[in-house]
Amino acid sequence: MLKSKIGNLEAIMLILTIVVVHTILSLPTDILKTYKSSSLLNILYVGIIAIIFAYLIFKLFKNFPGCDIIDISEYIGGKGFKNIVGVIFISYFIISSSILLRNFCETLKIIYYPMTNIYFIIALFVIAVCVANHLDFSATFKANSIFLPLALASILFLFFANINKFVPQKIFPILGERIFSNFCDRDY
Amino acid sequence: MALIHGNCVLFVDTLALAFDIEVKGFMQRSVDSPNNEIVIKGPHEAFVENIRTNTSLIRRIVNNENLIIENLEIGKITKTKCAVCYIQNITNPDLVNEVKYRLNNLEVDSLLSAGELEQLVVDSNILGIPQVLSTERPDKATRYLLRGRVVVIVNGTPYGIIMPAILVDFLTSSEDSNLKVEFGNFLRGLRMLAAFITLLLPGLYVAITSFHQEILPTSLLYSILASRESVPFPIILEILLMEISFELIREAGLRVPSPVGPTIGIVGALVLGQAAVSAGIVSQILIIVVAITGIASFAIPDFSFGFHLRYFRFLFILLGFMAGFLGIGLGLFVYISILCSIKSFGVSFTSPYAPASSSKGNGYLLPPIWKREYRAPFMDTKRPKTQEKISMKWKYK
Repeated sequence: MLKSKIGNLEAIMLILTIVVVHTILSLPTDILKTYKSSSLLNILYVGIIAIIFAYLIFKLFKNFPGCDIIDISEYIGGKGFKNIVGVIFISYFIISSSILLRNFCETLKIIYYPMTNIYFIIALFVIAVCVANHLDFSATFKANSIFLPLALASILFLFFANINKFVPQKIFPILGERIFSNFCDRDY
Repeated sequence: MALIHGNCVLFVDTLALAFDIEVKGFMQRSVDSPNNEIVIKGPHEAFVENIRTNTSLIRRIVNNENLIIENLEIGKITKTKCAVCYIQNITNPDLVNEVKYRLNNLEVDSLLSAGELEQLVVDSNILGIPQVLSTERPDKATRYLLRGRVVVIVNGTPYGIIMPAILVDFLTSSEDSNLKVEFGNFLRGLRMLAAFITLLLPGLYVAITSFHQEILPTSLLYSILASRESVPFPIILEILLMEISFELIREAGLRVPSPVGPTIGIVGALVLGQAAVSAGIVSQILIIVVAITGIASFAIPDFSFGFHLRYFRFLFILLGFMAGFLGIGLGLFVYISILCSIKSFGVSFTSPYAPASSSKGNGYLLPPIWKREYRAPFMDTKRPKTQEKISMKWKYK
């Protein structure tokens, strides 16, 4: 468990970095491609399910104040279980960050660097990550709290700059064309 | 012996001892106006080489018994006199103790300048970022004393060192408080822009012309292409050639005898730039980029910080050439992470923005003078308030 604490604002910024980037940049496109006219309804359904799960996790974590999942696994199953959960966690982070890095670098290569070897692009990110990890953890969340407001401001700027291209009529029908078959049939 | 050495000896009737008083006046430079920190509306006095004159300049401004000036010697051979100045009912005693601890634990033969002391007392020398502020102005030193900082004066150098220093200190000038708040904040915004231009403009130019031409308007793109048509060198060589030439002209201007110095600078810049364009070695737009970068670098108030930005713009030029905006973005991320990791005498270098805390009017932008009620919370001073809530009592009587 980390000995250093971070402030509330920095913690919120850290979470927003992950949430905002994914939610604003990639999620809307994926949802629209998959759910088409019933996107709003499906966001509502998924949102409710996510809130229920989040509440469940919150209630369970309330019994272990100040502990993270590694500490809880040690409490439940001893050092052996803690090691298993730790390995699963590390594997999850390694695999998901590798996939994320490769995906992002592929996109960059297609758009901006078609002649560049992808490993060169990946190497740049790896060097930056190594330097950031070499520094104290507080440097990362402080830098994040500087960058994120700028990123949010730029997203808002882009939104308002393109507002004349929005067609409000495209929201309708709000609940989609076939409300009840949303659970069974996506292709329409 | 005292009399032989030219001292004055004072005998007092009924006392069994005499006082040996040093009254010798060595030849020294008189108090003059500052060379490097020029202001329009503020005082025009600067520190000199003599430590006693410098401490007296501060004492004349702070007429308070709480201004403490402690003397110590550094250097086994030179025994250079240093004065640690602080206001005891304001400054955090832990800060004072830390400063004195570091000064008293320097095992060096000699200390010849404040610049050497600066390098000996800072926490780290990462990226060459200055972590203490140097000033030749007694009014600036006093302003920081009243904010709870410690000022160290070294005999033989017309500079005082202010510690701790945070990032915003290097982009502020003593002129800002002398002007109306709107003008002061306008100048601060301008300096922030100048820092951005000094560090990033050449790199962004290289990145845009090499990788991201699509973001330029078509007419501007045609102008750039037309100006670069006859240039035989790649953009990176062109920009490095001009940036290094500019630095050479700047450095040569310091060394040339003063009657000729400014002329050489102007001739060098104009003739070299114009000749290079006429010969087709560089493009006209590049000359403009280099010139704007150079002018912006002169707008940075602190010499050390300006040097640091000038030095690191070459890194961003290389990153922009290698990987365009991606390289510059990653470089900027690493750079800001390193800035955030630095601490100057226990104070985070990027205070009060990272970690985010209430600056109470001590951030980068100045509040109106009647609202500057508090000292910076990150200094943890003994006396947090600088003025009453209603400081202009004459208005409400």
